Amino acid sequence: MKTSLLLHATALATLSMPAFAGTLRYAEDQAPGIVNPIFSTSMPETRLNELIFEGLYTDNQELMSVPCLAESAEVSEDRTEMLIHLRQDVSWHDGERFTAQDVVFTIEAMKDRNTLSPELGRVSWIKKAEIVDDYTVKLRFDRPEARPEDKLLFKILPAHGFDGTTVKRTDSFRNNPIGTGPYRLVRYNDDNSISMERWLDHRNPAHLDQITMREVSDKNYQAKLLVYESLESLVRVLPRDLAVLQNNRKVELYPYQTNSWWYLGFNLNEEPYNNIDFRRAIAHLVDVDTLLAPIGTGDILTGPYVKSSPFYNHDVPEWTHDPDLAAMYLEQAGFTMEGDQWMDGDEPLRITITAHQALESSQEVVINLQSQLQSAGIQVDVGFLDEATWKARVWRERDFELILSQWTFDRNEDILDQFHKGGSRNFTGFSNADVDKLLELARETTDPQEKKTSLREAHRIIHDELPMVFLWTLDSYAALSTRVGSVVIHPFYFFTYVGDWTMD
Amino acid sequence: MNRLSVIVTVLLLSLASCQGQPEHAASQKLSPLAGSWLQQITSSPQDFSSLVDASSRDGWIAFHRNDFTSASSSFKGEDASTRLARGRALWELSLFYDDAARVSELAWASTFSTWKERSAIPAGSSIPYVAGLAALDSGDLQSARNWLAISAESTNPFLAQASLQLASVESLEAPFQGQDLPPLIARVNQHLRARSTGALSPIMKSAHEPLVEERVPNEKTGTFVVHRLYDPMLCRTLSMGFRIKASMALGLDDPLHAVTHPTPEADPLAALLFSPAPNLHDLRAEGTRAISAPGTLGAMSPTLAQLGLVLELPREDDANWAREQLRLLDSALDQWVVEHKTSLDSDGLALLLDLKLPELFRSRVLLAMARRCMLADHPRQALAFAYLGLDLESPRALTAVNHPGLQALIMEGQLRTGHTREALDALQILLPAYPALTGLNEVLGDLAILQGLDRFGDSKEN
Amino acid sequence: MPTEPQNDTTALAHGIDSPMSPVVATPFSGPPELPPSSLPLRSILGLFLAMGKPLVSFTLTLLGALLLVQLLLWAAPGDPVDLVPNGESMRSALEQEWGLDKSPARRYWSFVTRALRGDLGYSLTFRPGAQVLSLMTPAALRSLQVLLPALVLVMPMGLGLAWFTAGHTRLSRRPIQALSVTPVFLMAFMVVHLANETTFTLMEAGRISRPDWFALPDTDSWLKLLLSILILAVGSGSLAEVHAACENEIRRVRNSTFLDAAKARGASVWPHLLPNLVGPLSAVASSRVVFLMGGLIIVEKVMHLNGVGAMLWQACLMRDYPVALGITVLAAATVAGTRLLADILRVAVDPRLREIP
Repeated sequence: MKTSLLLHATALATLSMPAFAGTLRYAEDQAPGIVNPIFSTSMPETRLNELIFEGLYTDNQELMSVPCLAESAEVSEDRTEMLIHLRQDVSWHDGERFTAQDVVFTIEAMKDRNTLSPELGRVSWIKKAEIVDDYTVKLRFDRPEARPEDKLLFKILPAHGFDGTTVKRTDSFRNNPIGTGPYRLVRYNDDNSISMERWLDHRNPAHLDQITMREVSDKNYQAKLLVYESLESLVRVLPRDLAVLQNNRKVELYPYQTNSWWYLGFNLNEEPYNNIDFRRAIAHLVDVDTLLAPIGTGDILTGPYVKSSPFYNHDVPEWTHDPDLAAMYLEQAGFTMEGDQWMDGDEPLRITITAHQALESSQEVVINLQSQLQSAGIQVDVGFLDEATWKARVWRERDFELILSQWTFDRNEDILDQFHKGGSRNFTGFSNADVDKLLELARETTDPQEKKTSLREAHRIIHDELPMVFLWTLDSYAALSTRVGSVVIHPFYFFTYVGDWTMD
Repeated sequence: MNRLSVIVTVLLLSLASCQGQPEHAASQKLSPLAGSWLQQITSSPQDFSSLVDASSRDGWIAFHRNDFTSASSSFKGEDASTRLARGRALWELSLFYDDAARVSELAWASTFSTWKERSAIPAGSSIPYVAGLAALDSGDLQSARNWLAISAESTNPFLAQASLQLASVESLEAPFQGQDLPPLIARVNQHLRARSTGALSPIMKSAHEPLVEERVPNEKTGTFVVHRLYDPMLCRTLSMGFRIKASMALGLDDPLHAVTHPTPEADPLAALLFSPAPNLHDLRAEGTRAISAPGTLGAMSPTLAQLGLVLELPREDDANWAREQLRLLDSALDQWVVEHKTSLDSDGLALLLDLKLPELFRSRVLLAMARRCMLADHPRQALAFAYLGLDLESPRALTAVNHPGLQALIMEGQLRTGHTREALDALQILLPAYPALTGLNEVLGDLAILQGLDRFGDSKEN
Repeated sequence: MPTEPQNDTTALAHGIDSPMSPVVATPFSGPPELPPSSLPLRSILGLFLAMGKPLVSFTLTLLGALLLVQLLLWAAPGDPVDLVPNGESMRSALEQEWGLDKSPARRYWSFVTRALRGDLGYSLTFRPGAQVLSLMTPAALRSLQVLLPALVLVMPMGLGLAWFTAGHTRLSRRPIQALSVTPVFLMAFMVVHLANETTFTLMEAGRISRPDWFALPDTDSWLKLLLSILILAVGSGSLAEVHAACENEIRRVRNSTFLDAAKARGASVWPHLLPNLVGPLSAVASSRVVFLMGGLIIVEKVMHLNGVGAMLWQACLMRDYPVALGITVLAAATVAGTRLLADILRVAVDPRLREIP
């Protein structure tokens, strides 16, 4: 019952904790469930890990992999082996030295089948990791690697924090995470916040004394708290709050690029969604501009990439909002108009749109969409699912008709999982041999123009085949108090350069 | 189009109603901005309307929303004020393409060197030729020679000949002489002529088309791939060509001098309106300073110094400094607006608010500052200034506040700090209005792909 | 106004937000009037016999609630594995580790047997690996800080108000009802927004310096606690219900014959009145606990209180079965426990209930 004692003890201490100078408070929609990079499942956890842990390599401000816990490395001629020399001036947050054993332990722990790490993919390409001496590690790869350092960004865990390489979610490490990063976790507070303190033995100590992760589940309220100066940082600002925050002289906005797009997906295994005419009709009925306007500013898209992507095919036209054309397609699909209502045989045509509850502004979009389709004579039911129901119905059982959702990609923008016949995230059941071939080729080739051309062609086919109506991408900004200076934000991990941040 | 109609209405309204307004009492409080064009046209809207009526209303509407192509063709008249306005618009285009040209240089150089390093350059490809041409045009003779040595070996006689010809010169200035020039060299000559005469139409006609299109086998995948390689000289040519056009409109070889020292026949407001220089004094003072970097005009005006801004660049590329400067500028502008607003009549107020004059002036100053930092090799400060200059109500549109130069500098700053993907974001906003940047977009796209080849790809919902 | 105001309020309160509404508060029809009496020692046996039924009902309530929640969670689509990225590839291993591969009946049985030994298991997704008991205890204490004062507050408030309104026409209930039927979340949002915006405006204008509690409900403070208690006590019909029940009781007792008799004797009415009210009112209080606990979830969510209510909400969303079941046990025990307490109290003051047949 150590935890409960700890929690009791801190309960009083945190009740009226003052925000002393040099404390950066940032908001997350939901507090991290677990602080262990092997089991991290969400962005809040990923961001917190960035403060506490370090990898062998990290991104520099130019987004190139540079040594972090590694000092230097040599890759063999055939590029299947890598000898990594580690830094010798690194200590864990409990004072122990960081050595080669920790690196090998982390790789083996993630590869251990009994660990059940969702991050297994990050090390599966490493065939073997060996200790050469205290500060040297040798890695062997399954096949030649052009840039192994680009894949060595995963966080390293302390071998002495665990018993054996089978790591469990229940291990005591979860209460007392030990890293080598710029911040040390001091305590979990009653209000679900997490307090961190600068790790003074870090080889390059950070400037800010303390960082506090606050849980604020209401996105609208997050912006308010920033204005009230009860927070110093918002990880992502709702698009509709942008203009307001820009005019606030105490807040500064920092753009960061995300490759994400919204879509309205059809279940291609179900009637009438398997009928291209029906899908075309829906595409022509949706007035995308009107849907987008109330939720913020963004770009309207025609395919599975954002417009600035090299893979975006600019020659593909948007589906115009054209009710007449839609009516023609509905007739072709076998529906009849009675009065102002489309009929499916003797029954009114009725469809269900499902959205993820946590998708920001999804309520507004779905309700507007519902009214657009209903005014065109299609009955629409709507449903909002919580995360678990969504994962079960949409991801696992593929039990839906139309879904409204969003995909976010890292800068690789690899859509194979979404659109390949065997893709694990191909919910719509899309299957097209040409697209499969193009996606495979794009993954295989190292010729940038070949990759670009194939994916642009894939974009065209996917647009025409219409497994989903592509909607838009929204602008992404972080917001920080003007009191915080030297801010550089990593587009994915957010806190990578936090050591340089300063505060008045 | 909505925005345009609003602006037109505002302009028309203010023009229609400001005839014969009594002169407003001079501002009692002497803010450093008291003598600025902002104060002049809001206090005496008739000054504004007489300039607009005398030159071209359409021209100024386009100038206001930073559409300099339309503006330059709308200012048709030959009177001093209209020529000044036309010259300014053309010169803005030249500066914009100058920004783009710096990005081009960097983009072509890094793309092909990264390509060589990360993936094999297929044998017989024209890539080395284009890379050599780009290097030569940017003055990197050594790389140019290295690349051209490869393409000179090509089995394609035209390519080999063109490579040899390029390798024979030290820089690209005088057109190549001789008959039966290979098409690639003839294209280079077109550029060089345009740069010295301002004859841009032959270049503009094919600006968004690839220079070379070829089918290359990919040995690794066993497929054929069509390579489209774009013209690396384009942006520099456009910049130089528009500069010549601006000189011709202004009647002086040096457009900077012409703009900063307007002739007595011209309405001084034509030199100042929508510019980052608050008044003529600022213009003249900066005219001498900005000779080496005309795009920075407005970044170091005496008025800014009076507002408390620090005109000396710090040694470090520290974005904080940029943000501090902006805070000073903002508070001065806020204060001026508050004080000045009370003394305005409805027309003046309409001009001030509906034309977003304070925001427009602010973004022009920030653009000049960003450019100055960029040229001083401080890309982070430049990025900060450029981003802070944007109006986030419509961040993806070019508007009166969102000058295209801001996006060009964001593109450069992002690229120089390694964020190729983000640079593409900025470029995307420019492309519809500036199709000549198509090639740059493709090259940067290739670079972004090459840089991510070995990364762990991931996607997540929401 | 033909409707009975009390039913009116009940209906409203139920309709708006009572996640725990399966237990319906029945308007208390109290025991017939009884003479004042002291607690006689001779009927201890009677007391025990009389308590048998409530004890059985306590156990059944607990098991029933547990069964219900288990069934609900089981029937709800999705499971904890769905919430693990790449969880599908590890499904069988995770299901085995988390005991999800067993039938619901076996899971129920093993939970009950382990719970009897004091082991509530560990969290699966909410705080993976954390012991449910250690997660729950501090949260429960925080919830108690709000629940108990709210309960303590609502009774005298309702009673006090009823004392005054009992003599008047039933229309006087209207203002109390109007205030009280405001849904808890709406009331909380309004209060928070109003307090924040007003204070912020004053701060920006330089009229006041930043108060310690600013901004609600982000910062822990006495004000936040006080407001949470008040909102819980007043909102969602709590006050109106208690008030109505008290008023009925007071009226009934005031009109009773024994009181008339006492008055006629010239004796004080108080010793007659109070014991007659204790029984009925303790029943009112125990029935309110259920509603207050329903409201608690909402107050905790809106006021960022991080008590068991908010935790239950999150655990259900994340399909964290052990945490959800643990909290259910606690909640059911509290409800059933309060009822038990009320029964004991009633039996204690009513000698007829402990007569040995």
